[in-house]
Parts: sequence; structure tokens; C-alpha cells
Amino acid sequence: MDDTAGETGKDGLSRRSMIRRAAAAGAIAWSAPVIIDSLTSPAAAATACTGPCYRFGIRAAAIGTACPVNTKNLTAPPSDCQPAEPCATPVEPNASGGSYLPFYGITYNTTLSANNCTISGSTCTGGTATTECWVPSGAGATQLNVKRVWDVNIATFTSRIPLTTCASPDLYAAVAGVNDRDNVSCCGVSNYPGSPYSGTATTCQPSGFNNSATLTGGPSSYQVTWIFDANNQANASQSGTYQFTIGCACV
Amino acid sequence: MTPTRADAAVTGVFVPAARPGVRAIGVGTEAIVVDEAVDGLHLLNAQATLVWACFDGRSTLAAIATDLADVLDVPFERVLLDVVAVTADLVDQGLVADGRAAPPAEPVAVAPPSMRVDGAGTPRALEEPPNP
Repeated sequence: MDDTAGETGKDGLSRRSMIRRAAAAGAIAWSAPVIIDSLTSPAAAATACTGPCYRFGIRAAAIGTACPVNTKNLTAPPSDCQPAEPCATPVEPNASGGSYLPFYGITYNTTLSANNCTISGSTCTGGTATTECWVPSGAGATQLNVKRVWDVNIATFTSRIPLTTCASPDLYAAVAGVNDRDNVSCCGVSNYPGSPYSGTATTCQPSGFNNSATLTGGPSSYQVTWIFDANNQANASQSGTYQFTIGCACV
Repeated sequence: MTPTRADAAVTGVFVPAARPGVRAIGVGTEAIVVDEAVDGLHLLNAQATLVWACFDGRSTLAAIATDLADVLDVPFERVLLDVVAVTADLVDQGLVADGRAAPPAEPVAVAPPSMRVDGAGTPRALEEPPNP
């Protein structure tokens, strides 16, 4: 079957070519196409973040055999929370995923590969500069001895929620590790230092373990980048599933 | 099974077209479909993303399924059933309409990752919100 068969789009690319290219790029094997999840925000367009609301936290669910990790317990909205609807109590996570932030953000799970790249000075060696390895820049560059940087471009969030109405610190991203190799043996440890607001480090992480999340973009699309600093060099094979959440908290 | 919702209306001759105000944004091999009318977000898996990309407002589901089946070397009957099912879901969600009934909206491409960040793109450190 040649590529000229089928409808041809405005860009001159036939549908068959597009399918073939997508299959090659994404290694798509056919399985049922589905809507994985839907989130609708009936009240967000007009009123998000204009009044007192609840603080949100991440309570990352255990996936597979990993331990549950909490960055901060979800907090019910205060009694005077307005508008009421966006302040609905966040959904608790379950075994299949993490918490959602009703109406204010979305949560996305992604998996990072181990040993994506190494960074020496300003030269990114190994991996692919645009997808696996970032030369430190912006907020990340202010960190000393940044050695491993993952550009989590799969975690590009798009929100129709008017997050631009939220001023820092009300707008932020949070990162929580789930199924993290170094956290597997940490059942019962409540805090995980994957979130920029998580607080106490776990005892099972190496001393000084630190990472941070940055937001790039806006107003409707944000990219979250998670940076490991030099203290994580010992964890040369950091890998696992990580949960990224971007949200708006009005307090 | 008794057909319900859009199942009965969506068949192989259905011509899917994205409704106005609905657009898809690629997230890796998946995509988030944004419905501006209701501030809805719908995450599609890779296969549904590929199906969505085939919606041009002119082609029938049967034609789309034919191409998918041929290129991916999957039985046509299976692909057609899958494509019809996900299209019915998309119709139920108000994301897709029958292009035969009205002039279709412009096809909305799935932007590559490099084009997905809006605005100035300046990274900034995140501040810690107050503790409760």
C-alpha cells in the first residue's frame, strides 16, 4: 500500500504516512483507543482563585510495590471557602493513581529513565539534549553542582484553568515520587522531599537529598522540570514513576 | 447489548470532526483534548490520540479504520470496532460531531512538544506555600 492512499491533509501528508510516522515514533502497537481520564471544571473559568480556598497537597499513591508517600495530607476546604464548588474536598488517591486537584489542576504520572545523561560544565553528554538532558538554565542553574537534570517534557500540563490569576506562592508545581527506587524500603515514612513544599526529608533518603520543581511557560501551558542536585549523585540510577502536579492553591 | 448514548449514531459512515473550541495538545504519544466551552480536559491514550489525529472532517470512520488497519497490520474489523467505540465516547463528551451534519471545524493538529509551551517560557523557582 503506498503512501498516497487515503485522505491527504493540508500539509500534504497522507493519513497513511501520518499513521506510519506516528507508529514509528511512538512504537504504537494497536490496542483499544480510550479516553483515559476526563476532568471538567464548570466553575473554574469565572471564579478560580478569586477567593479563599483550600491548600492542596499531594498524597502520592503507591503504585506497584512502592510505599505510599505523602508530601502533605490533603486538606479539606475551610468552612468559609469560596467559591464552594472548586473547593470540593480533593479526591483521595488509590492504587491506580495519585490525587487529583479538583478544578484547579491536573496530576500526571510519568516515568523517568535511569542514567539519562550526565552534565559536565555546560556540555550535555549522553542522552539527547532536548529530551533527556538539560544544560542547567534559569532557576535550575542557580543550584550548585547540578549534575542530573531531567527534562520531563512528557509532563507538560495544559490547563484551561486561569492559573494566571494566581500569584506566587499560590501557583506552583509539586513533584512527588512514587515507586521511587530509593523509597521502596521506606514504608511508613510520611514525608517525601520530592515536593517543593513537602518539608521534612525522609530518613531513608541520602543526607541532603534534594530536588526541586520549576515551572516553565504559561499562561495555559506549563512545563515542569525536576532537577536533582549534586547530592543525588550517589543515586546514579534514579528511576521510577514520579507524579507531577500543577495546581493553584488559594489561601 | 442495547445501544445507548452515541453508540447508535456512530457507525462506519460517521464523519468525525472536532467541535469548535476543542483542540488537542500532544503529551508524548498521548494527548490532552481541551474543551474550552466547559473547561474540560480529556486525556487520550496513544491509540486514541492517533485516531483523533485522523479526524479531518471529511473521512468516514471506515476509511480511517481501513488506513489504520492496513498500516498497523491489524484486522480491519477489530480496528473499526475500536474506532467506533472511542468516537462514540468522544461524541458523548461533546468533543466530536458528525461532519456530515455541519461544516467541520478546522482540523486541529497535535502540536509537538517543542511547541506546547506558551508565553515567555521563563523558568522560575517555586515558592513554598504557607503551612496550614
